Amino acid sequence: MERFIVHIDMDAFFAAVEIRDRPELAGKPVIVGAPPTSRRGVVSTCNYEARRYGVRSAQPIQVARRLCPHAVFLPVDMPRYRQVSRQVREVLERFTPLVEPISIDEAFLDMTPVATHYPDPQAMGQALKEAIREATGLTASVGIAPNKSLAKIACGTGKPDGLVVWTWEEAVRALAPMPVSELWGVGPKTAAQLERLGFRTVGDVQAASEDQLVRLLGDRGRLLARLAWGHDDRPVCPEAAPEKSLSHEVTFEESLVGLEAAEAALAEISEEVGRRLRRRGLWARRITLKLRFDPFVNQTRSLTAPQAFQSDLAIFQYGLELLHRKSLRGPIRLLGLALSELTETPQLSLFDRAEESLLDRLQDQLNTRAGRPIIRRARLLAAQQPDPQARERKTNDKGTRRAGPQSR
Amino acid sequence: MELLLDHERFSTAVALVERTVSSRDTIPALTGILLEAGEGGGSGVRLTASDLEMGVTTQIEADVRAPGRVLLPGRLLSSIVRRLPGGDVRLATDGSGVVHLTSGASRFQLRALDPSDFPTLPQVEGGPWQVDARLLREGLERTEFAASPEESRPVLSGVLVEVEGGHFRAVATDSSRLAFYQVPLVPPEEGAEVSAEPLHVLVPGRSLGEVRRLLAGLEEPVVLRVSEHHVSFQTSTFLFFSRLIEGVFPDYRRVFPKEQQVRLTVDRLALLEALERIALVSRKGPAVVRLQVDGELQLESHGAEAGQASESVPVEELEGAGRTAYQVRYLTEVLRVLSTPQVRFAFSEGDHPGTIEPVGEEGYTYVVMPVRLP
Repeated sequence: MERFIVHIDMDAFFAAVEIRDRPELAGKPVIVGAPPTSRRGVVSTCNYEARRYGVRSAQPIQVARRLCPHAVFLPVDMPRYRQVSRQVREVLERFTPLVEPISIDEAFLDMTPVATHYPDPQAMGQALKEAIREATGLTASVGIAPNKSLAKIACGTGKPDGLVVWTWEEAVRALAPMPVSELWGVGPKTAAQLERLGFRTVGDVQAASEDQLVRLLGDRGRLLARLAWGHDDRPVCPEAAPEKSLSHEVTFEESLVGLEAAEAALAEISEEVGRRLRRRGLWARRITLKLRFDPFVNQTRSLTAPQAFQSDLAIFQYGLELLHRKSLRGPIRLLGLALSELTETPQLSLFDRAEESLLDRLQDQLNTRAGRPIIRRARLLAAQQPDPQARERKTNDKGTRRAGPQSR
Repeated sequence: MELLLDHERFSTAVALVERTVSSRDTIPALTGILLEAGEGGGSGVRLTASDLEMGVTTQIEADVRAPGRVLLPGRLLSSIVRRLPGGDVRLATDGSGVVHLTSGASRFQLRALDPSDFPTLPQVEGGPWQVDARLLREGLERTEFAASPEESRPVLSGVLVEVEGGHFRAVATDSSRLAFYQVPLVPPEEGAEVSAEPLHVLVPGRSLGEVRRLLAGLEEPVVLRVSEHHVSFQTSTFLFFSRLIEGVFPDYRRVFPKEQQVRLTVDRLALLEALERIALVSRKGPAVVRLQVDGELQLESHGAEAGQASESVPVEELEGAGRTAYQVRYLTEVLRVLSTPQVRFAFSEGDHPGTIEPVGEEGYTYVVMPVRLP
């Protein structure tokens, strides 16, 4: 049976929300991201006016400033975008419960079961776009095709404010002139490899036999052939599978010596993993500490907390408990924390007051807005700045700096 | 030793003690059932099993031809006796550590364990107190399920058993919910020796599960005794003892909410069945039900993959409006152990406990904390 898969992409989402709420920005190039003075920050989103100057997402903000110095630069206001995103999601769920959010501004819908409610797919797409505009005042691009990868590509060809409907035959024709990198799962590396083999466009791949592709690329060749011919039977999964665990680990360029250095690194890792936990709206009950000692001796230690926790401080304290459980076997090469038994709906306790992570959330908000950790818990900060005497010892030590954590 | 036993009595007695046979064989003697036939004959035989955590002993009539003590592998003895066709069972030792069990045409030679390795049972003599078997069983049935199955916080894996001020109380909690049962004691018979001291013991839920099973169908006073580390329950058919849990049970009196914003009366089975239905969509992780009360009781459940479900349940005597959410299991478990046609359910929004009480029965309160909604 032919499926009606819809891909919806909110146009220049963050910028569009900003412009909607500040109409005086309309028609001006708007760049949402790090402050223009930031040396290493990047562009998060920009509107189409800014794109005309060559500004792109993920571009260093300094490059964007050079390309478009008169643009309006705005900080990222995640909570507000998330709220609008929820609104959009509610609109989509009025059409079908089969909504799979991919990111804050993109989603797949499986409209197959309700397709008969519309005279044709064009009308279906129009209805979706209008409903979104009515509820949020924002425009969305819509692609409708028999499967996910085609719907996404179709959507991309119509941006902004587009509506593209493809049958399978139309899709195969439309794909032919596109670069292979348009296909799902073909990244820059694979694309370069394919180009070396003489496949520049999807049409080049379509012209090759499956046997030939398998000979050249192995199993990936078979997948590539399927995608080039517009075959993809992945289902739309409402609400992506909940995450089972969240972890962060750091490998040190210079192994950490002593408990104090380990505690400092633990504080930093606690903040990182805590921020990610809260950003996903999750609570954890289990925590695992991973240690790698020189030379390559791994150890993990875990505990289950009596109550779900979410704050940096709780994560740090449980981490400390695990760290102190046994003495260190030598210099630490790697330190990591993993949180598991995650839930969005933590069970409250009759006897212990629930953790209030109001402070943490406030801290996250301020730090996100600033683009760097401007606010930190004193307890965690203290762990990261050992007493001055200890610091002196370290700087005197052949003048080398204390081994700093480095994210992998 | 030589004994003649009636199959039915023997089979019942073996089944009674078998459940406290240790399932781990780290101490081989604990995997056995001890049979003791006293000197003098005619007085019967005593069967005992214990895994140190708990144990049970029972006495049955037997024709004792020669007294003695044997320790037989518990599971094996139980399987054999269960399958014997009936009639008389003859047990005899031959002095070589082998026990001959014969019944009708069946003959077994069983290798016995050394009875001197079997632990002496604890002396439990404090008290005594008396609680009617039916009330004791009901109290355990309605509380034990609320104890924590995890051993990580031992005090939460037990049931608090109290006899105080003319009342029998059982309380259990896993820290998320608490079940409280209290009934007035039936006055003991004339001349019965009963302690006036209050009784407070914390007994492992697993042991009480066995007590509950042993009490099935009994209508008689159960005698409770305590020692420093043990509690015992004695009836006309058995003596059961259990190790006590050490530690302080949380102060349960402070969890009962004084005021609730929303109160309603609902048919117990209708609510139970609706909850079981809507929980079907959340197969992964603990199912959560959202409840909304606004002129009616609306239940809603969201599954990560399967979809969502909602249902409205008819209510009576409705006061207030609001919304809350619970783990489905925490509601269905209590609705299953209650027996009244209706229950009273009350809650307040936010981080406050809800309460469930049977309508028409005094003395039972179930307190349950909600989950926090995103």
